[in-house]
Amino acid sequence: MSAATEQPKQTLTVTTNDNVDIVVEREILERSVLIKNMIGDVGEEQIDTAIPLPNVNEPVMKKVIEWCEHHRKDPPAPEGDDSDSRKKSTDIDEWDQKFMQVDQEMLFEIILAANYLDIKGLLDVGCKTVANMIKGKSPDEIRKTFNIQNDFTPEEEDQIRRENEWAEDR
Amino acid sequence: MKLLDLFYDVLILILEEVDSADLAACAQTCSGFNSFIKGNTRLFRTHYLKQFDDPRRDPTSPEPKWDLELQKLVKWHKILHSESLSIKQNYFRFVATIVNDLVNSSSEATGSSRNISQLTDVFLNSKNVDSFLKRSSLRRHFIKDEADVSVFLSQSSRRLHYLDDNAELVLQIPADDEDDRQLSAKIHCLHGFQISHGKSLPSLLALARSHVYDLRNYTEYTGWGPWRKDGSMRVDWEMVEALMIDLGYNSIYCHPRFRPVWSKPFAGITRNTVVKNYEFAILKELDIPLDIKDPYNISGTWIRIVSFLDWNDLYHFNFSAPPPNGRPRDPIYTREATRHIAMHLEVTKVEPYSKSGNNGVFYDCVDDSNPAFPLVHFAGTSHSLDSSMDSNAISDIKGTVRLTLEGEVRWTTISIFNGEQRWRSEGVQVGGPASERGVIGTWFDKDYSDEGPVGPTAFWKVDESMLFADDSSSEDDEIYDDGDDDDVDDDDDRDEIGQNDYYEHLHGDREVEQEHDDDDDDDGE
Repeated sequence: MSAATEQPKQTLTVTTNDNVDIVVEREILERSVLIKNMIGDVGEEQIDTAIPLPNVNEPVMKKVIEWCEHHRKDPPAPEGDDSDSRKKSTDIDEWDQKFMQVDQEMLFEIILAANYLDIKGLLDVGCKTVANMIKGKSPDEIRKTFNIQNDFTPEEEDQIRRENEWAEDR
Repeated sequence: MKLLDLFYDVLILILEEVDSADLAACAQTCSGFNSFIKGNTRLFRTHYLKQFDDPRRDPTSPEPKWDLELQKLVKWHKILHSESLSIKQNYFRFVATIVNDLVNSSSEATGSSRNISQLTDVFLNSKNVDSFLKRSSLRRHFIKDEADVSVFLSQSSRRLHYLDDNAELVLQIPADDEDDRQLSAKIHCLHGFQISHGKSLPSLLALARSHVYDLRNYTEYTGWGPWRKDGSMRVDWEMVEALMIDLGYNSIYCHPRFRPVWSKPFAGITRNTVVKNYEFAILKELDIPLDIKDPYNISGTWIRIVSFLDWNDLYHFNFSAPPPNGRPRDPIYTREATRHIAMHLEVTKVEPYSKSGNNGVFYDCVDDSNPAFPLVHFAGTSHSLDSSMDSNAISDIKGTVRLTLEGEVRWTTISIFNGEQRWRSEGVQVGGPASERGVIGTWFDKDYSDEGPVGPTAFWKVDESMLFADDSSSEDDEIYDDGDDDDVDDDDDRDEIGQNDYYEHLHGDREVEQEHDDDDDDDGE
């Protein structure tokens, strides 16, 4: 393969909030803008110290690392809030779709971790996955999917239904 | 952890990815979700701007009510995607008004216009074309006699029921209300005219011709142009529609280079953003060139298409049969002749425009969207583009462009042959000031002769180079792809007896020696 892959890879250690140390290639971990900036801040000489991640537990971090490893060569996310770059919500590639087939608890944890670690691509895929679980569903189906309690009185429900008539199929 | 336990920022990212209508379903699940979504400006704004152009003219414009505006557009979309023709009919004005508004607020500031792409999309559906673009009175001929119409109209509910049961047999019924018929004609004009629109007989072309060449439409009230009969100088969109259809058909037989901009849906209609911010104060600046002061972008090369009917046919059509007393005359099946002209125009004067015509009296803005625009004078030359015509025959042309009270762009031109004024034209620039779509209107005798002649004309701005472009290899037959839908009456009106004589008569051009190549048009097969 290429010359780059023959060199020994630099690794880093992260400590999750359940006190587990995970050793990861630096290139993979730098998909996280948060960690990349942390390394920049502390400087190269302190790189051997484990990086604490107080908001992420081990199982979630392992999933995050799995995603970053698969997407290690992705071009960096475009800067700023470019609405065009996230226009097509159904565009989730096959690998990502499979990757996101986890229970809801884990799905939300991954989204929150991606948000905290600032991994735009993963956050995007996570949000789109949840959005796809909502799309085209009736209120009742959404309640079932996400285990939401209907706390409206019948009068309120009626009123809210009227407020939302604009979206009804005709 | 539950969906609603996610951070605000994350939940909003998720809700920005769902379809707009899903927001309503989410809001109905529980009070927590409802209060998150209801009135959430950021959420509704994101949804709006993802699908439509920013309606604000400039950054200082007030924010629209994003939630209400989006909800209106979702409803609009649902109606247009409905299978039910009665739903479409019931919401005619709601839908048509939004079509007009979306064209008005279209913008290419951030790439291609989202509004135009949405509009183009919804009118790929022929039910939408029939329900909204074909409701002007032009089509009242389609129902054989007036008695049928009144029976039809008096039985609204049965009619609608009938329509839903007979989707294949859709009748394009004129709207009940004059404003609605005008609105339908207007959005049809904004859409433009494509040939494969239906199989209606008698041919739409013959109906449009009948309207265009009916001299009763040329009076001092209509200013001999496409203006309403009440003397208000508001645009008569039904007349513009007839002119557009007539010229649209006639242009099938012309070179693709000279085909009007409006032969593609919503082409050249996007509002010109530079013009939106026109500063009236610029008129007082002395050192600014006229072209910069001119908000209508007049100076340059324009292609013009002019059609006319044989003089005898025009006369017989208007004066031999007893006038049908306010009712439309019979369809005209006789084919017209069509000429193409290149105009080179230059601005000669830009002056403040006053309603009364006195200098210095500025007319008030009708509203913020119609800033006071100046009266611009232009002059130039025109020459024939048809190969069989003497291309050296150059005539002069002059005219004015101004805004009407309702904010439409009115063009008046005067053609001058050998120093003598001969023809005038009155037209409206569809799509507003400096639109790429160009102008559609009428031409007539400079002395407003009661006996004509009159006819349709249109012109649009082009790049000078395209006049000389070598495109001999270009495909001329795309228009024939939908052969079976093509209701041009090719067969029965081939004979153009004396039309070139007429042209000579009209233009005093005795050098014309050869038939115009109208009969070459079968090469599309």
